[in-house]
Amino acid sequence: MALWNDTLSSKNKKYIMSLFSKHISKGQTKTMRAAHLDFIETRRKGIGFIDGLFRRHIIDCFTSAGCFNVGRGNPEIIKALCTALQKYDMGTNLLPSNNKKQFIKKLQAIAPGDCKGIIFASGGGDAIDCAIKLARGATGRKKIIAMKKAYHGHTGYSLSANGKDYYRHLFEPLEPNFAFVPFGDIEAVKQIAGMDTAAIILEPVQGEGGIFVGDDYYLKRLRTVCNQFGIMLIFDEIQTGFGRTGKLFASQHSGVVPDIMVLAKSISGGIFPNAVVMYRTTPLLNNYVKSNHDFHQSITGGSDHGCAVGSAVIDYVVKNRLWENAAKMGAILMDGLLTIQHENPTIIKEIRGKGLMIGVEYTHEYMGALMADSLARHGIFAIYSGNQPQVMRFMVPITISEQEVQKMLTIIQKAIGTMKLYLPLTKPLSKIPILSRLLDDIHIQIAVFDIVRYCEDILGITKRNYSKEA
Amino acid sequence: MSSQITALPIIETNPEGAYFYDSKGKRYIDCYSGAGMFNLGRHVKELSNTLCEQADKSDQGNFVLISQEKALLASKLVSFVPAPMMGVFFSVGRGEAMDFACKLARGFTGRAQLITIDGAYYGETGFSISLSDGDKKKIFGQIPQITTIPFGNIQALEEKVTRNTAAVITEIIQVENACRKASEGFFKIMRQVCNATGALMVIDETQTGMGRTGKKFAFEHYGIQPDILVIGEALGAGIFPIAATVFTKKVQKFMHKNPLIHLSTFGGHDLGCRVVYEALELYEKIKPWENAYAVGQYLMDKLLTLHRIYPDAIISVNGQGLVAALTLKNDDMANRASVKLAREGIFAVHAKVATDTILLRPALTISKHDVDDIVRAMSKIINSL
Repeated sequence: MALWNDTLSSKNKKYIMSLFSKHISKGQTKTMRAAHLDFIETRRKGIGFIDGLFRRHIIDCFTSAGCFNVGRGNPEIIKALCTALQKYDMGTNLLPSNNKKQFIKKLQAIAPGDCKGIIFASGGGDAIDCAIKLARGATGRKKIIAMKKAYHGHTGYSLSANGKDYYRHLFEPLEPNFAFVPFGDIEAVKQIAGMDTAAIILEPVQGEGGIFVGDDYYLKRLRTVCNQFGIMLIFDEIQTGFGRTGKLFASQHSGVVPDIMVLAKSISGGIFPNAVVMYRTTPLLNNYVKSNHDFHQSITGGSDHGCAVGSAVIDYVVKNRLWENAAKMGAILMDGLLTIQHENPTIIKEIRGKGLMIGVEYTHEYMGALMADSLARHGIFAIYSGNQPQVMRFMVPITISEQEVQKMLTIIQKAIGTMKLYLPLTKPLSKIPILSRLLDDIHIQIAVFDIVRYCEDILGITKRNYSKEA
Repeated sequence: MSSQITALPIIETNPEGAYFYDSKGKRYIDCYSGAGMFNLGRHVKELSNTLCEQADKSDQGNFVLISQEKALLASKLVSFVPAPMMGVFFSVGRGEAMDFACKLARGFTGRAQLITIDGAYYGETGFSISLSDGDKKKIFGQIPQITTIPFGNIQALEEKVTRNTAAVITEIIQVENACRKASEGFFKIMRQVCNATGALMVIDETQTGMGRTGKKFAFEHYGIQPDILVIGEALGAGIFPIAATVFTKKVQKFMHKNPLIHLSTFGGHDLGCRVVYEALELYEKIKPWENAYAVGQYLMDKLLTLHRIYPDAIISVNGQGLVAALTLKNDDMANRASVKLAREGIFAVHAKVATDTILLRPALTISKHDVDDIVRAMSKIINSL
């Protein structure tokens, strides 16, 4: 189809930006432009993509929040999709098929413990809503304990479980039976957990919230509390699943088997949406699902294509033991980042993470945006989170090689150099409380950077810089 | 959903046109169409080929980034919709698209109250369940500030919709509720009270849109236009999962002002957009609403005849275009009808709200010949119920 361009002229790009502004969001275009994140992804391969305008190779450290564990444009996954396409469409959600059966078998083979029951969902948010419904339906209880800073999605129940105001406040009132406790604080859970609690829901490693790792002790204690009161333990492994943290599932670090586990993102191979809710085959959950098989119907979750792709993803991850690579490369990246932190203590406050799910926390909120900008100039796409703007997530495809990790580290070092050029200006300003607040205000940052970017474009600076890099 | 029918030994293979086959080679006329997703028929070859071909060139992309795929598809979609729309948000499924519509209405108006209609069905996610008929919201959790009014009740509209109302949410035809309809006056007044109070009118066309009722969208039957329109999986023609929330320029201000406040990882999937762009071109070329209108009339005539012959078994027949509802005496009868139809090579299930009703929603490209087969099977089994 000639419609889709692999390389874009300035004129093409302007047209696309104007259409995007017109129909999707002007604010989004502005935000992306201001931070030099106005890439247009054309070719996608391995750990990155080509920016269609400047023909630069960009390393993808966001990966749609962890969707591309098997690498982008993975030929084995594409082949599985094409094979399925010859004979199938998405299929009927009410009927079994060979693709579905095969995928279910493969999921059951890798499931932690007895977490082998399977319900399909269309995407992450839908799957979280399904998990919450399953817990409430099976226990007959309402109260859910969720974590502060948690991020579970944007649909009705998943949004209600989000532990930060940022994504919620414009849409209140949400479903009220959620209680929030600080992540990692077992005493806080003990104080409010009881016979009225349906579930405790958490990400074993908080992603969007700023990469906080739940330690083994904490997760084990949660399991004990859940056992004590018959509470369903729900692990949201949407971002951590399929090898990201150095184990196939993050729960396997602690050995804690959740009652309900939610998977999405990487299960899609980055090419065909799908999501899964897995549950322990205990009498309580089994019976509930059996006698309420229509409690959560998804039209497109568990489609024939989705299942064929999902099977190929599992095969690829298992065959190449990708979690081991994530652990190994994660350790190298972590070491490198710690060295960089040591050299730049006024910029980097802390490095956290597990496997290839790593967060860099800067010393000031405004630095997240500055660093995203500087990294983009040097060829890395990484973003700070809306929940926690001073934390930047690095979640590169876990197929990454050591050489590529070294390249990443070199770029990060360069980017810090670039950012330092801004600091003489922003540092003193940030010492004045009112200005510090202004600097940290994302809307003001965007407005200021958008003007800077506009001037750069007029003067031809952007183009000159990028062609140098290329 | 009908437990008996899912317990039948049907392993789906080789979908094609108006049919699919089971692993033993038995043919079924698909009257379920993935809950109204296969409007262009099963396994649309052109789109399958495109998906395979483009999978090598594109993928999902990073959902926060500006993309040519999202931009061009959004632009094409707003011109496809026969109402002055400007903004688009892509989701992966219908529930998510409806949840977003509710959030958009609350966010834009700064008001909390959502007014829904009794007997409605919108999906399985939090907001959708809270707005839908049935017990699920009691078990799974109710989003607060939702008021339900009776379908077709003009007085209730005038009383309940106020300056505190963010949106009135409705279907044009309640498909899962035996294709229940309301008068033109009801929708016209709804539009008027929304205009007068500043509440937004949200129309869910996940079941009725993309040609199903004999028009591109069912709201065209009544000469009204929504502020927010929810389009379901039929958009992806059964090849790619996608749904969309489409809205006016006025409402879009919220999205300009609050970028990235609602996200969908798989919504607006770049590879999917490439396929769906072509699906829209196919819709424009085939104009399946024309066949849906003509063959729909034919189907309705035949079903009404059947109703006259079996007035005891069939309580009523409703529908429009190629969605028809046969209400039988009770749930059990609907369940048995579904199983017996499957034996006759017709795959149809009961509705979600009116569980005593069999829904027929075949591919919009279906022939009169196939409709004859459906009606023949129906008349054969009806005696034995």
